[in-house]
Amino acid sequence: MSLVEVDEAFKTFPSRQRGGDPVRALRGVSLRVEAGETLAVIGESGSGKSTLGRAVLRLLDLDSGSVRLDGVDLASLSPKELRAKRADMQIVFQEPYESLNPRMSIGAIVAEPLQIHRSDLGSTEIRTRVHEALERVGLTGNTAARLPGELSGGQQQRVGVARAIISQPKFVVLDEPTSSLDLSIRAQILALLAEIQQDLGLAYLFVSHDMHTVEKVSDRIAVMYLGEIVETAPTLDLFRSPQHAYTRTLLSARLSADPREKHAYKAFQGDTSVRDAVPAGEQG
Amino acid sequence: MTETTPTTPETVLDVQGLTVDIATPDGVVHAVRGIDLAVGRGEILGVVGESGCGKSTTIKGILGLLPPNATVGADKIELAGHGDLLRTPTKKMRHVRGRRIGFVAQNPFGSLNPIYSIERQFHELQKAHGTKVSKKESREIAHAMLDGVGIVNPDRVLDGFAHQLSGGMAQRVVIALATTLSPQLLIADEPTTGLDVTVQAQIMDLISGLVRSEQRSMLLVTHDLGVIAQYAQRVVVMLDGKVVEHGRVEDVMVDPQHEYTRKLISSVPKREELHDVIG
Repeated sequence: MSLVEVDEAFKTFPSRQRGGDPVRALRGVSLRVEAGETLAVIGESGSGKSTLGRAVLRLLDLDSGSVRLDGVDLASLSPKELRAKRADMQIVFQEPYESLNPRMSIGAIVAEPLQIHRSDLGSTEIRTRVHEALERVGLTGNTAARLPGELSGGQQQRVGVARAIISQPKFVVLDEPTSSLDLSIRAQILALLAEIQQDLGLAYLFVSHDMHTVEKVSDRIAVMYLGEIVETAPTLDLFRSPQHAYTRTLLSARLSADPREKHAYKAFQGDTSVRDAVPAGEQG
Repeated sequence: MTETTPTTPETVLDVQGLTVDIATPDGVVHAVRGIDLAVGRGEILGVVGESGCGKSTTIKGILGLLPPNATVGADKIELAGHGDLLRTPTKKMRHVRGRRIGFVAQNPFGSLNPIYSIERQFHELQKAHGTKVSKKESREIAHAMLDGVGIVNPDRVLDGFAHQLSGGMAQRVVIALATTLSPQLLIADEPTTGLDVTVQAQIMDLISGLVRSEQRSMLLVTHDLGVIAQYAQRVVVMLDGKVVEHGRVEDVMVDPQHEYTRKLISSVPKREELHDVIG
């Protein structure tokens, strides 16, 4: 049994435009995430990767198919049971500032999961654990008294990580956790996430559009295109011998920072026509 | 290793000692602190740096697009065939922008007017620059421009509005508008940031093709080292309002001399390195 098991997940959203076609965000997605590993889900806007990231946490309900964490079907849980289960599965969002309540202190933000999931803990114990979590992500204890707006983007994302790990989850969805950060800050956050994974034995589902990033951080990569996983492979294999034509297109669109490695973009057949058919706003 | 002169003989834009001071309630911020750069004909000069380094302020200073609380100074901002932009009156700068310098901003939807049809925006551009063209001629020109940027059905796009376009299509329209009056210099501020990677590759191939085939010049501002390495001939690395390194892409990106450039290039460490940090 794998830690996370997704089978035949389907999800369709109604069109945002009147009379438009519904958006088939997930079209029969199945995947496994093993304990302690990082599975990257890569795709472009409209591929369904963010929908998948939310569906595996049951932040949205599937039309059909199932998601199991530790063998437990998340759809079978009562609201109360689901809430308890959420201690085991957390998420770090793309926009750190928008995912932190601007009026709550950092300490209160990081403490919130404990207050929900660990009502047995006293306030002194919670305060100790908040300080530990902040130090764990490289922030000093006195950050607890500050507000999100007083922190830099990198520090805000560290707070997002602290909040995600304080309930000691087994599984964390990272939804583009570094794409709004500057390059050097990005490297620090990726190193932090790797360190935390090794210490706590967490499994990550790393949702990203950036091949450069997933190449560095993932054990395996699942490539999504228009609601389907077209290929899943260990990271090295995927880069060495991509099997699907769309994976080859994605790889050819990578721009190496080394000018000696010349890129030669190869369009995926039907690539632009499909893309142009996607309504504006569905794209980044 | 420092190569401050363009790779091509003819200099199109020559900026010397550019400074930008911005007055804020908390005092003056020295956003750009004396930078030199030169762009040659047929050349793409990349300007790279992280948020707050002053790269966008630099190009807005060159274009005269900064708000009144900003003070731009320079020894010169010389545009070939025109003269010193710093000494060009505000009204005349309007004609420089569009006719002599084409500008492509990061967000195409911010550049396009949401309530005018795309056709009308091409016509307004001609009118604003005093070109006497009929609506019919303007549409023909626009049709050819859209065709040139790889839009399959120009008529459909011309009759439509910005919100009906995908991000990649909208950026193609902006590039077509920016090049309609055949400016010799293009300035692009993160033209592909926010676009999908496959769309980014298509747009950058388009832009570099336009520069090469027409012998135009381009100042390309981006935080993306891949874009610089693959498309620019020379690069300027900015930090805290200053240029810290300047040279040919194959020198700077392969064998960076400045510590900050080295840090930027190695910013996404290899997987093994990540674990070394920990172990």
